[in-house]
Amino acid sequence: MSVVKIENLWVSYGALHAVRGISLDIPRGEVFGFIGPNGAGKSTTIKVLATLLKHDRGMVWVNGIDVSRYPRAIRDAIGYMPDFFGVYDDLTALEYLHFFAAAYRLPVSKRKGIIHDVLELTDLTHKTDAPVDSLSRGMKQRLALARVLLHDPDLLLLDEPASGLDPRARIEVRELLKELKNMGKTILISSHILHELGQLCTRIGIIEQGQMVAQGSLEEIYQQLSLMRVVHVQLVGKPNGMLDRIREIPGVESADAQVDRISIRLHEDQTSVEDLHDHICRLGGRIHMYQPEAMDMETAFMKLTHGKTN
Amino acid sequence: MKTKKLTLGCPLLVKELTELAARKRTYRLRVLYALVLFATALILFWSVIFANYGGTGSPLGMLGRGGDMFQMLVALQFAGIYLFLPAMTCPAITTEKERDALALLLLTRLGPWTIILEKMTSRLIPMFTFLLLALPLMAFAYTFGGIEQQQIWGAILMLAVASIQVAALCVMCSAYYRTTVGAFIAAYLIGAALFPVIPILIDSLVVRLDADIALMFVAPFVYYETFRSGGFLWHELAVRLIPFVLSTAIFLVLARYFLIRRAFVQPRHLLRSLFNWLDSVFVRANQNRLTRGIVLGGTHTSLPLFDPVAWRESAKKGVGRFHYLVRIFLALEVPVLAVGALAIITQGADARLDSMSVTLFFVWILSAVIVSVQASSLISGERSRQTLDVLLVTPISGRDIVLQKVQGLRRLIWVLSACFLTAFLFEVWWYESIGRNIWQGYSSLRYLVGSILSLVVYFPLAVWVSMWVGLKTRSQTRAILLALAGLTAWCLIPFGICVTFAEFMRWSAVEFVPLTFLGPAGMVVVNEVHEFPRFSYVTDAQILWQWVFVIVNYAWYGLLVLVFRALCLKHADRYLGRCEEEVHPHLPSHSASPQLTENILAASSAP
Repeated sequence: MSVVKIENLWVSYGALHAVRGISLDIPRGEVFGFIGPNGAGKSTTIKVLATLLKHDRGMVWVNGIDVSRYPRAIRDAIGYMPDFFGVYDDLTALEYLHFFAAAYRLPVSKRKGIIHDVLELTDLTHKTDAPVDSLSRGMKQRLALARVLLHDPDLLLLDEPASGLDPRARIEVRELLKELKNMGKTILISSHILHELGQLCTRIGIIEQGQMVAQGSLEEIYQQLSLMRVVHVQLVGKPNGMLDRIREIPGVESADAQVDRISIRLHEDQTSVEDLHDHICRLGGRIHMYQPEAMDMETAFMKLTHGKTN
Repeated sequence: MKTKKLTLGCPLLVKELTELAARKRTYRLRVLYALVLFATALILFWSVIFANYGGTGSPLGMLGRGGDMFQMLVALQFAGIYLFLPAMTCPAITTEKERDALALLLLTRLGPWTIILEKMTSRLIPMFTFLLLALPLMAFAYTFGGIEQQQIWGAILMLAVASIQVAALCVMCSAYYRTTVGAFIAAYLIGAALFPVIPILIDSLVVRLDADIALMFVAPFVYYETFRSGGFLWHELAVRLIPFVLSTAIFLVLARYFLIRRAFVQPRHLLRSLFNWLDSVFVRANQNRLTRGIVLGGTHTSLPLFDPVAWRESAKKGVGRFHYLVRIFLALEVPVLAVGALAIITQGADARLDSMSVTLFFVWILSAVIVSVQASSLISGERSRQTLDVLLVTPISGRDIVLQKVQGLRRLIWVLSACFLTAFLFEVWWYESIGRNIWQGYSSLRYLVGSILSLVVYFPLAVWVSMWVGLKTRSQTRAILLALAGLTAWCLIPFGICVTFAEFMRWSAVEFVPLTFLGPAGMVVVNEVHEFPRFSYVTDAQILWQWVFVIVNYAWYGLLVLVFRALCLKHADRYLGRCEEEVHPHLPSHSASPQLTENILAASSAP
């Protein structure tokens, strides 16, 4: 059963249609990446799921419960992290977590243990008595993640969790999210940092002008876009006519000789990266280096969106 | 159709006017101004027509009465300038600071003078359009005759002078302060100090002048009054305008100075600064041989168990902490009792505690401002600091959030009430102890009941009205301004109506005292200065009627407390900005897991 199910969602701010007919389905344990330019409707969709915004049309369910009819029930099942810190500067980290533990009505006897666990998970145990306003941005973000984990929600709604963070803090947050993924949490995450989403998400949805323009696993999206994989090959010596023979391999779009390597553009739906390797070996090539480039989400993003909502 | 863009060579002015024109608020404000102006003017015109027609029984009796109408209209226009122009001008530079855009503006080729003058002009132009709204009313008054050309020119000149003077003062405050609220409050305080207070002080303490003459030097309205006296003053004009021009120039020079010096001033919490100052005073006072820095209520840390929002409001906010509350109590209580004691010492056995009453009025104003600012900031402050959304996704209901927030203000209200209560009891004790009632019809019981009811009803009224404003307003600054402006207008307008009617209908002000009960401040004043006996003959009221006045007044305002409280609680979720719970007894049966369903049911059934 899906943790999140959205059917034909429409949300308007006055005359502006921020979301126009989005549908998506997120099964349990999935990490769904929500990508789109600024103003595309990502945060609006997340706010609808977080019960902060009423939608005009369509249906939205979390754990099979209608968000518009039972918002209070939904709030127990979700952990929402907005695209700003949202932390009380007049509290210490420990007080902040106790505040939300009381807000989520966690049993008093269990609070201490739960808070200790989330602090350990987010590596903030040494900062329990530090005032929140003295924490770095990365620490504040980890504290916000600790908050959303307090009541052990089924669904995490993370709106731009890595925005504004330095590289180290971003890597820390990414590792933390991987940990949550391994814990089996269902996560809906929006981000601009595309290659990080690529490493983390099982599926992605690309949204522009309030409409979903592509949805599926990364591979499915690449196939949908007919994106080609670039493979870099170094051969021992320079066998005569090898370049032409590689070009004749089915699925190879082009093969260009560069200073120290051959760059091959490959249609993966016709020949896989592994099969290409076998083909080259059969052609008598002795492979010194074989390096398929990681599929480029930025290319996919640029191809699918036109920056109309930027 | 292609429209030509206005090219004045004043980019900032054009930008400001374009922005103002694009805002719905500009038009709403103009409609509001027109409604208030036309409604008030028509009531006043009607009173003039009725008085003259009724007096003579002939329509000819009304001829020549246009002069009176014109005076009323000009007075209303002056009131409009003093009420609306500060609200329009104070945000001129503070909004740039709040948006962190002033630095960018200073980096352009626009000089500081250009910025100041274009900002001021951009506020004056809409104000002049407001003033032009009175033209149809003026034409109406003109048809009755009795208006001299000199009066018209004098009015135009003085309205323009007053507008420029007020705008310059507000721009100066806007350049100095970091926030619009600070600039707005300072503009009124400085205006009040400069225009009526200082000239009156000079008049009474330094040079014996007629108060009107003293005021004339600084207040265009009073100067304008001389035009209607019929004296030909044009030859004196150049000399008489010097104070206005000088004060305006000083305001503008200071604005120019502050614009650069205070461009990057950090935001300062006024209340927190006041507390910090009080803190240092009390700490110093506590370090003596007798007390030796004794601490009665030490700060101890606790963690929230069940009502986290109330916990934060009372344990972590300044106005909720014990030692701050003690200091607020002492800061308000000591001056009130000192003034009372001083009056007794200086006046002896026949002492009337009028000075204590005046001090109590100031304490009322201060208390109402503190309570209103706190209450209107409760939710709007969370919105401004972007902490509200994370609170709204917790299972705490909107109603509970609002109630817990207000709960945090209870201690403050108790402390303020304790301060007032001791002052009331002191006053009753004194009047009872001297063994006679100085005024006919004075009743200490009625005074005490009226005073205690004022605490019971008016503090919650200020809290719930301000809370309602804060719930419906997006920014904290706007919430504070609206709440303060709303409460001030509610308290002052009935007095204004009373004075205006008394002035223009040539009746005694006492006859209109019952009108002051249309605002909550009326009962406080009447009760404190023991006015009941004075207007009782007007209403033919006996002692019983005085009690009826007290009870009806507080019942009415008590009802308003309940109405505003109900509004805040009933629509709490909507006002806070999240989906409202529909009342559905059954949850869908196909929830994901039994454990989750248990949680959901528990959450749904929670109050």
